Amino acid sequence: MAPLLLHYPIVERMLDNGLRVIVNPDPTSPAVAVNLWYGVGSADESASRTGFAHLFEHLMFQGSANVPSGEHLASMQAAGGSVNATTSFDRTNYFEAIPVGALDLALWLEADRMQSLTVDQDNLNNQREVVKEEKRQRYDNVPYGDVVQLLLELHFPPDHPYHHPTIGSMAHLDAATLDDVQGFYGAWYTPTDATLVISGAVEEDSAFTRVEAAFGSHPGRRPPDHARPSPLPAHQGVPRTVMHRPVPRDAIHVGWRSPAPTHHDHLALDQALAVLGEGQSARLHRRLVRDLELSEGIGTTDFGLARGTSMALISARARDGVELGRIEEIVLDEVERLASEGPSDAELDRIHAGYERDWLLELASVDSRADEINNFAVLHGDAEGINTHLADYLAVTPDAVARAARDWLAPTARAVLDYHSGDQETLR
Amino acid sequence: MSARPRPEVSPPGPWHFPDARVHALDNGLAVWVYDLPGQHVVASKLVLDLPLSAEPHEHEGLASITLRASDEGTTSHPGGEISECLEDVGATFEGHASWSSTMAMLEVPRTRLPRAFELFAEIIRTPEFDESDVDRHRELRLAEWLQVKANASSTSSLVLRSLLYPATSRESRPAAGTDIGVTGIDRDLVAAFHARRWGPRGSTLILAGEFDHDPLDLARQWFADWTPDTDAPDHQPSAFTPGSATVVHLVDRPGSVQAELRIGGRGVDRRSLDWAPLQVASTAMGGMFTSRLNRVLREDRGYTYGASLVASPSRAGGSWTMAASCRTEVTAAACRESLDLLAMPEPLTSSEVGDAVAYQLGVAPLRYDTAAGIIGQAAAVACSGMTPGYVNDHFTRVAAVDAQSASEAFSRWVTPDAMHIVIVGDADVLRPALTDLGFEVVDAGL
Repeated sequence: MAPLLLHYPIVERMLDNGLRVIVNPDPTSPAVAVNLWYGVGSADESASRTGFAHLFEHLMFQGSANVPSGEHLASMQAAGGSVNATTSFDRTNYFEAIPVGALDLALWLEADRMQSLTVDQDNLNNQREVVKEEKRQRYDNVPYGDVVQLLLELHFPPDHPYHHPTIGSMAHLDAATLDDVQGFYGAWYTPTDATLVISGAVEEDSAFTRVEAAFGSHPGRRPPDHARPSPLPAHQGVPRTVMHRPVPRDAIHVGWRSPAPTHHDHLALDQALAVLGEGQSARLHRRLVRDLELSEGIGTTDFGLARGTSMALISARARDGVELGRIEEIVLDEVERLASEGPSDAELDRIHAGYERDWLLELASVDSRADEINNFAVLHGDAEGINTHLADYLAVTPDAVARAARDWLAPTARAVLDYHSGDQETLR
Repeated sequence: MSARPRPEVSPPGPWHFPDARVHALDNGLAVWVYDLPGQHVVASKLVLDLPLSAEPHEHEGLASITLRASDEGTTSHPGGEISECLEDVGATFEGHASWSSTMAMLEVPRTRLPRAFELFAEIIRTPEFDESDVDRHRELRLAEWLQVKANASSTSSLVLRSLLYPATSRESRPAAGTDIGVTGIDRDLVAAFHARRWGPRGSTLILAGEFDHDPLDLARQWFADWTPDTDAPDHQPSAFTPGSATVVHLVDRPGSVQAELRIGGRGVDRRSLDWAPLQVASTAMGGMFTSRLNRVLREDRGYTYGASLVASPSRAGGSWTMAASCRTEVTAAACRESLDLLAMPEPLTSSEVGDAVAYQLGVAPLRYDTAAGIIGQAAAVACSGMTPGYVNDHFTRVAAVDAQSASEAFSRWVTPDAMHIVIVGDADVLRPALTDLGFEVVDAGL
């Protein structure tokens, strides 16, 4: 069955101040999405100021020259829009999905906070507390909540920008002064390091006119150089973290240093992980969950980290009483089998069919489509990538998948997190 | 600084939830079709007329295990072959056994719908229920139950549920069952439950997306001759237990760095004239960033990452729940302040209610911009025993809500004698702080 290769119109222009603007007109959409990426992520933080990029995501809702604190969210929601922002290792994004009648206001609000930030000591203190509550709610008070931090520390050396999680250190946030805040803002929040995508029910010319009116007068400013670490070599000697925590079941995460999403092996490696772990007919699900009943569930993923080195993982939660070593042995056995024999044509067709569905869903709504356009524009350098990505994905062959497994998932190049159920103190 | 004046917002144009083509097959199965041009991933959902009260009391969790084991194998494609067949065409099958219905959903690129739909019908009608699959899903649910109990958030919601509904009601206990009911579930129980309870009568099949051919033909082809001899379910209206705004049910979780606060009470269903105003009032009180609860607890006090209030209609009855996660040392104060806000000393203003109405109506077009979004809303209507036209009728009623009707509905339903308070956290710290604020503290747990 021929895949559905859709084509979305993409028009790109650069304002004089360096703001990159991409418009995807879609008259069939009931709304319009505004999606603004700043190139700053937690990877750009200094080791003594972790958590700043994410704290900023909060502070950006605390007011600017013409917008009082909280007003950005309030006026967008009152206009029938949804608003949010997220921070990752590689970027910070701000987005609105709104009825088209609120587009000018959305752009005006984004433009105002691109040019000024009016944080005072009170709302800095308040948002610090809110961020601490976010950390407790998402990580500290949740079983297995420290897994991502442990994996980052296992895979990236202490001086690497990916060594620390995006949420950062609360001690660093406590030490932050208003001067630090304005310094970080002044350095990174500039049109020259931002990309704005508009997707939805607005015509191309109209969109560019509106953007020029809102952002055109902002002065451009070169940001500091982004952290661009060289790709790390593969692990040697199987580094292993052994953790004991009061959780119901043991879990294991077998990981590798993997190539960035722009690397020519990325799609093939992604498919190797999918053959092993995606869906009920995936090899590791079949063997560990269904046939041998050693595991409650398994999953595979790549973090998609953009700066030289990413992290690929095979994760499994053990059934009661099952040794993690037994699971690790079978994971490695399946990885080696895939590397030597490759996937069958039928297996890879299955992965391709599932990906076609997921990709069509990702592009179906203007809000997620706008974010993908930004992803391709910023991380891959070409917004048109959303129109060629599926064909690229489907062109990967069984041989390429086997080669990617061989090159990137070698058992000797793994690092392992053994996460045991039980209290560390009582076990000693 | 930019002197450009703040742009005005022009009001959105008219928007309607899409209309369904409604048909009924001779066997009683209702078929709703939503034609959505441009939606290339199509979805189909079967909403079975099957409330959890149909489970035998000693085997609560049976509806969930039956659903979870159904796509492990079919009589034509046993031993996991069925999942390969589905994945061959890029289809997913998933489902959920909820209080008023068991629902199963298919999603697939439109070009592959005919084959995927055939497999979907095969799973619904002729699941294999191999003993090893059922046994495995039983064990996985028991393991999942341990994870639920280890999580403070899910624990708080389930303890609230146990207080809100009387023990005689199935709604007082977890939908997927606990160790008590799940432990004894076996292949024969599952197969018998499927045979007696999965059928077309009272059930609704919904299809949404861009279709290359009329999907009604597919529905007829694969479901018209589905005529099992099933038992009719007995839908009971929800029953509720009176509560108290001065009693805190405290679940001890020693060493927790944060406490989960839940306050909940009786609400209304979609048939109630109070549903639209209560939904709008809940949005103004806890459904937007500037809602009263979030503004005070997050933005003024820094007690929490977010505070929310959600009103949830069920088939006959409904509930509302306020939720926040707060660091331990401020939780008692946050609880007190939440109750003060819920008491609504000042009625909701026209501005608050106007914003909440605009938000509810404004986010709808994007929320319902995919086949799955449409089908989710349609399924909620179907499992309440209502018809597709309800959705637009509801939007009309939402648009008419004003400050007075919203405030009155809120005051009618969010009352001190109807609410239950649950906190999950470090009791050594929480208990004295709560007692100091005048709360009676009662030990609770799952």
